[in-house]
Amino acid sequence: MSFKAIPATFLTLGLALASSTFLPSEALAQKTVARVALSGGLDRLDPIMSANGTDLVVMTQIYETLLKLDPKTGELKPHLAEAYRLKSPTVWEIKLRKGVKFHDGTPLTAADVKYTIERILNKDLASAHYSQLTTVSEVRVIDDYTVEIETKKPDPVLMRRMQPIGGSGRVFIVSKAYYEKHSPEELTNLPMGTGPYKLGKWEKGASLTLVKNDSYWGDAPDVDEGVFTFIPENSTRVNALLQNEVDVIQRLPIADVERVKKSSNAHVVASPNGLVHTLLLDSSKPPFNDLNVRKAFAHALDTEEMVEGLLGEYGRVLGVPMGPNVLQFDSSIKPYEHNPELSKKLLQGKTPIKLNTFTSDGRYVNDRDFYQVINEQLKQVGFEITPQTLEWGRFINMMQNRSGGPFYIIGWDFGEGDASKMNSFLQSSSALSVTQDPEYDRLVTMAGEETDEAKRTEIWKQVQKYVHDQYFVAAVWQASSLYGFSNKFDWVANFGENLALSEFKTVKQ
Amino acid sequence: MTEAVARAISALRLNRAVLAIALIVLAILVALAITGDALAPMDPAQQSLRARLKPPGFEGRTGIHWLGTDAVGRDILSLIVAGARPALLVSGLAVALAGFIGVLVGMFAGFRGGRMVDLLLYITNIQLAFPFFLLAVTIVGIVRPSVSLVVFVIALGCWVPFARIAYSETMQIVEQEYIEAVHVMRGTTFRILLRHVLPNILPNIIVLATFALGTAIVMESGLSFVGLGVPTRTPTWGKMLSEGRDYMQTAWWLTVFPGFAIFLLVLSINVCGERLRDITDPKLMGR
Repeated sequence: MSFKAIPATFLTLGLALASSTFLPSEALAQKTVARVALSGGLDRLDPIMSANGTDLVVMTQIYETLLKLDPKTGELKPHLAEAYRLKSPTVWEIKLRKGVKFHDGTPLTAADVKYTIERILNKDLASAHYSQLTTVSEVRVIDDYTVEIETKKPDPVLMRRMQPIGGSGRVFIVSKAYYEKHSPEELTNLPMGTGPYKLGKWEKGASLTLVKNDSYWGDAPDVDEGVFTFIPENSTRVNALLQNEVDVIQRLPIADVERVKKSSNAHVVASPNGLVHTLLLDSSKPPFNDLNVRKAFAHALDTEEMVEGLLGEYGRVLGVPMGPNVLQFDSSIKPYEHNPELSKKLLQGKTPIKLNTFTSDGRYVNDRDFYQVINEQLKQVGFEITPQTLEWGRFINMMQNRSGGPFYIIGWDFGEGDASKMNSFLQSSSALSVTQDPEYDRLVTMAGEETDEAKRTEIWKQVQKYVHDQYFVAAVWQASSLYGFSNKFDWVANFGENLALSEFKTVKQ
Repeated sequence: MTEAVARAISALRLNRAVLAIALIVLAILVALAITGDALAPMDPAQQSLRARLKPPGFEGRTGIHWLGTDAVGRDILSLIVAGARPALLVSGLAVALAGFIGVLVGMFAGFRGGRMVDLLLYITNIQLAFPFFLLAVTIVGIVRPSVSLVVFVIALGCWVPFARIAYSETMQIVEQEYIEAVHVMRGTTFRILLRHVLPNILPNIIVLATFALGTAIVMESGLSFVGLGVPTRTPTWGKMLSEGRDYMQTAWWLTVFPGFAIFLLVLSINVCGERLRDITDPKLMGR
């Protein structure tokens, strides 16, 4: 029996060898498939409705915006729009690129742009991007390739909202004809845009396949097909990469960076422009409506040690709540120094200050550890913290009702490179703002209406100083966005959180 | 024949040894639960970011970390010592509460019979058909977790066996002639249950309680694991497990040691419980 098996083994081995010699030529004909593991599942793939992080990863491959950002200079560059100009202080004129086709073969025209913006502004739909376009009063189609956008008052940053990075606009252009023909459910399940990839197959909860759009107007990407799967558990995701089950993973945990670096089949792709984490204080309620308590809180923390210890080379402490890539960023403002003695002095007669807080676990890089260290350092100066961990969906709901507790961490993508992003968490009208400060509101309204770039920067510098002096945000740090990549692919991550399948390069091995 | 006897004797010896070890472990853990942090080699809440995720035997500024340090640099050994109290206290209180309610309800149903029995069986069946963990997560998720809430929830998860045993035993006892004699002498229900029924069912209840204690500890760890345990200054064992999960591949000591502590405690309690059952079981008398 056993000696019969031996020739059979040789035969199989021989066959395997023979077939492997055919592999190179086969590989040439084969499709290049990138398997991407996302950290969460997909919800709705309608770019008008969804602003969910994982939805965006997929939608940005299918849909496109009028403009994009230059990764080096941070300036706006043409994309679906060929050119744009400020015709009068309140009118922007946009010329569209000719020859752009939707996946169904229909050409992109000015009517689609008008339809997209009006759909976002349709109050009944409650678009996720509504608040970003409230200055728009009218969109006019001049001819097939020219659109005019009129604003109620001068809005110098409107064009920044026409690019996909950072989340302050995300005006993804949709097809008017397609949207008018389909029900909201169909639009959610069957996205159709102008991008380099189109929807292949979506098996809900299991995987989603994107295939290359052969009639794409721009450069053809290296990757022919993208298969997205969903692995929320950190270590499972890393293991899937190391065992070659997937080629790319999102949100590589810092604890596993060394493992990926040491592995023979994968490497780390890092972008310094990751989320800017803000430790927000609810200054609209006691005890943080008192400037001295906010000050004591901030100086009780050793943010430098915390970031060094928990993020190592993948984190940096910032003095103001915005990314250093922001045009108006003031690098002369330094982070609050660790001075527990000062904190104790400021809190004299007020301690213990009892706080019931909520914390997240797993939403941001090492957030649980950050909360633990913060709470312990606060205890040293007289705060008494009773923390409770919440599931993120519930937590963010509470934050939007301004009842997320006295302090918490939120991370912001400052990819768009404009200071106005700060308004999302500091302007009283924003749902996520726990600061209700008339002076801040006055300054930023002034900045928002200023069309002169230099004067605008000047006002934003004033705002930064004011925010720093008022201790609205107790600590700020930026964590690099980390990805695990199979050695078959490489990618230069310019914009932190924004994974771009079309930018992947195949690596010859 | 002699061989079988020898085997029985050696098995008995082994049993004794295991029991002795279990008792010692239990005694140590109970002592730790009583003294709290006092016996911990270091302050369990003391963090040190410079000494985070260090392996067992690492020598830090405050001494040697025999079981290593966790993600914020706390001493794992000290954390385990500090975690003995919540583990035993919460599960102990929960079992006491479950036992009290279960026995009370069970005895009453067994004594009265009729409608009460139907109601009891109805409620216990519903409860057994409903996944406990789902129920626990729902309750603790809605109300802010506190010691009393977690004790209540775990008690809710283990009162059913108490009620059932108390019910069936009481039913048998009340049919005995001496109970009828008490009836004739116009003894009150309360007096019959307390003086005549309870002492007879108590041994079984105590044995049941030891096993329930093991289950309760696992439940408490499970709730802590999903972040719904009792709020404590330092993490409980279950919480340590969940916190260490992200580092399982890179720092095994974060999960292995607290996991071992839970295992050891539950095993010791079960070994003792088994022995207790053997002692009270009349069929095994004299062994």
